[in-house]
Amino acid sequence: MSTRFQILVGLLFTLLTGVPLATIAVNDFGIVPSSEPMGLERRAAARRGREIEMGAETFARWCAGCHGVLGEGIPQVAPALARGDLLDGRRARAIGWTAGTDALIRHTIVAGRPIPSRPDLYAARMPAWGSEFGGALGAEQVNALVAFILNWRVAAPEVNAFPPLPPTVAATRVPALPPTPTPRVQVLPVCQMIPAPYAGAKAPFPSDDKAVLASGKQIYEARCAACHGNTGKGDGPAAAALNPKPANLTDKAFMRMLPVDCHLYVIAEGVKGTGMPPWKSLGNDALWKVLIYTRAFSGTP
Amino acid sequence: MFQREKRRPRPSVRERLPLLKHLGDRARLAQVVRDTAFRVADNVTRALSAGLSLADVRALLRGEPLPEGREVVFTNAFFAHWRPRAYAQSASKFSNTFALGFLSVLTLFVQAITGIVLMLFYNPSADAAYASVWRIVAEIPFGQFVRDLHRLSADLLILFAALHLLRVYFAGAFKPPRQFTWVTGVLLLVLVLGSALTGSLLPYDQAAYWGVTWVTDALKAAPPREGIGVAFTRFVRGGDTVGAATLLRFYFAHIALLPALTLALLAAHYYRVARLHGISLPAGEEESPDPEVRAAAQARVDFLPGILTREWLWIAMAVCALTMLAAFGYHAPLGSAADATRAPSPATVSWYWLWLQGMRQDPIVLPLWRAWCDAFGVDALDWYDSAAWQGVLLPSALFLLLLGVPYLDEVWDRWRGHASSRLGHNRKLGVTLGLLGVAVFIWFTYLGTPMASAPVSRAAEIAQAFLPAECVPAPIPLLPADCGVARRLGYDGLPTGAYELEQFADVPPSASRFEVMLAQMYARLRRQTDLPDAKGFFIVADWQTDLKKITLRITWTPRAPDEVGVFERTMFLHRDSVD
Repeated sequence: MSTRFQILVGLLFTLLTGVPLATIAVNDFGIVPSSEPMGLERRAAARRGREIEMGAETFARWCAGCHGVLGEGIPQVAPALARGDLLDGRRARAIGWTAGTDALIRHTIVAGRPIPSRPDLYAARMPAWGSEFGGALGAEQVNALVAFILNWRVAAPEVNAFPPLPPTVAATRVPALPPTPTPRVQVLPVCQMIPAPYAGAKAPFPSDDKAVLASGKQIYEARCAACHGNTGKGDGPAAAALNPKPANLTDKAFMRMLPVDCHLYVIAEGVKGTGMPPWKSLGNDALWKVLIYTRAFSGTP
Repeated sequence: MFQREKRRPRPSVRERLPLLKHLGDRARLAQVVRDTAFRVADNVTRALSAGLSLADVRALLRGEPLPEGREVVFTNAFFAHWRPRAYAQSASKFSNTFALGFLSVLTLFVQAITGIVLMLFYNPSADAAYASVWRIVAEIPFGQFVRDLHRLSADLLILFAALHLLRVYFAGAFKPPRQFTWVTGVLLLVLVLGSALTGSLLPYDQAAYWGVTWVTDALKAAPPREGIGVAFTRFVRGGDTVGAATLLRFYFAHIALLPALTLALLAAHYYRVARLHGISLPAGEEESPDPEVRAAAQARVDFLPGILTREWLWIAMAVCALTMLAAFGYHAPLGSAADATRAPSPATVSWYWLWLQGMRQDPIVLPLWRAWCDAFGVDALDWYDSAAWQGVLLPSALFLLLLGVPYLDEVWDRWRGHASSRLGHNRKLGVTLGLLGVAVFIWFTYLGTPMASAPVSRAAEIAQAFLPAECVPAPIPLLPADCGVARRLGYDGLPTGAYELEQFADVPPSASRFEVMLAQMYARLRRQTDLPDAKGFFIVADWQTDLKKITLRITWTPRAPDEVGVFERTMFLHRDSVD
């Protein structure tokens, strides 16, 4: 190839390079008006979409256990999140929060709630999920969660999650101490007085039924593992933020001090003063299944 | 004696600005401006082009002969000094080198330029890195293009550098006097791989986080594990796990330490090639018994204008190809944000680390050792630390071997009493070992891919093909990552509903892409023989505004008492998300 021919071809390639560059410029700056979203706009939408997908995964993994799979809330455990007043800013205004709904949600996820807002309605305390407070979620996961929760905004139902306290209840928020019971030997303090429907309850399923164990495992992993850990050692990702710590379900000595009827009572009604919420809204069968599954960790009958 | 010198009278304005003298005469003024501009342009051209005046450049482009002595390099031609004045005729042929060294340097320049641009927008903190990369992609005009170029030419740089090494090895170009040049080249390859590793962490997505975790995990096995291995891994990561400290030190290494070392070594490498011993001639011509062939091979080809013009042509072509690819074909992948609590399965790494992943599976020594132990009934399996040998010691030994190739070759020749020769038939052993090395490398690379490793379960394997948790990088450079069939169909391609796969056993040819996918899933499910009475269900649910939840559930009759018999894989898909 002669030098002049090479120069000609090189110039042609240099001009050709302008084609992709011009294409990108047209797309990114939106020079040509078009109904289709282009370039930057489409990629920004893709970024929001990916964020919502990541948030959905994170929600299913860490949050659905207490707030419900579709954010509908679980009675006596945790309030609904897919609800109009939270997502359109009424709730933020009601509690005097001025920094916007997304900041309210973000800060609640990251730092949790030191005390439950309404222990009479929702017994579980929101743990601190941000990694800076020992939780499982990094900044990106929290951002994604906020994006996902805010995406309910369009079709959120009206749920009265925080009905006002009746004046009498408001005056006596601390319940009166129950009469001192006669101590039962070698059981946990919480088991010393078990109320009527639970005292002496017997499991309706055999403890070695595979189907029961399998469905117990499913419930456990969805609802309990976040705090008690997948293997029951009380080392779930949310445990770091809890005080007192979740029980170690593999501890044989501990489980022996927790008879079956008391175990059911604890799962159904929760334990006051700890992060353990009441789960009786799941239904009796589900409680027994998860009970049988958790007792299998330590092999305690 | 010590009287102050008399101050000279200040020059008048007219003296300082001679143009003013001609203010009145328009034609004269234009003439002076033209002459001055020409003189400045001529001087600049001379300074930049090894002393060629504008007239000479014009003559060159017209193919006219230059006046005698014009190529002589001027001492003030700084850039011209970088290149040799002339090449040997045969060395400058494309088929001699395939321009691999040139292309490596070209991609390195692209890396430097695009890297500096990216640096303006990137934030190396664990909380903000991922978001800042998304900002580059989705908010900065040309941001995605620059990032694509950076990733694209990174892959090409590794490819070209590796091919360059192979070319030099098989051509015997490492032989004296080029021995130390080979050493600098191998070190440069290591630096390039180091830059690739440190750069791969910076997007801070799942692939980045876990890819770096797996590669640095290999260091942990360095013996003694407690003393050296763990301490060294801690030093590299800045902690026990990959995290904010790792990101910061990898960022520093990527933008300052490794580029500085690369620049210094590249200068040494190029100085030796360009000034000290030149590019090697084709072996057949260099060692030809015919003196005429040898003389013809050595004939001078001036750098100007032919070689420089050809190089600019290559640059124009390469830049055009890179730009086309980045604009229309190739997009650098960006997965979900890094999550230290969730490792993607199966483990995936970039194509250039697959060989290391394959080595860690220990396909040769461990089975042999096990067979030996069994045959002699010796219980010595614990003596052999597979991770240490295959993950650290053997790769390090290979690196040292590669460094020492020219010197080992010389010792071998001397021991056999051969004269040093670059011809292939005089170094059959070297060429055979080289080919064997390439074959073993490709085999290890294959072993490192997910397709070679045993799947966790048949059900997980099917889920991985259709609904992978993360996009799987291709084992071959420049191919797009595989994000699964379901994601390719997209939000609108997945109609809401619950589908039993059995009902899609034979779909008509007119079926939609969705039905074809279900049929493929069913075919995969039926083909496997591990899961008794396996049944598959595919569920697409409207989950939120513009968000669908996609579930693949595979059930089978449990084969063991502790088996559940259910496998589930879930994926969320947003209307706007594209892969």
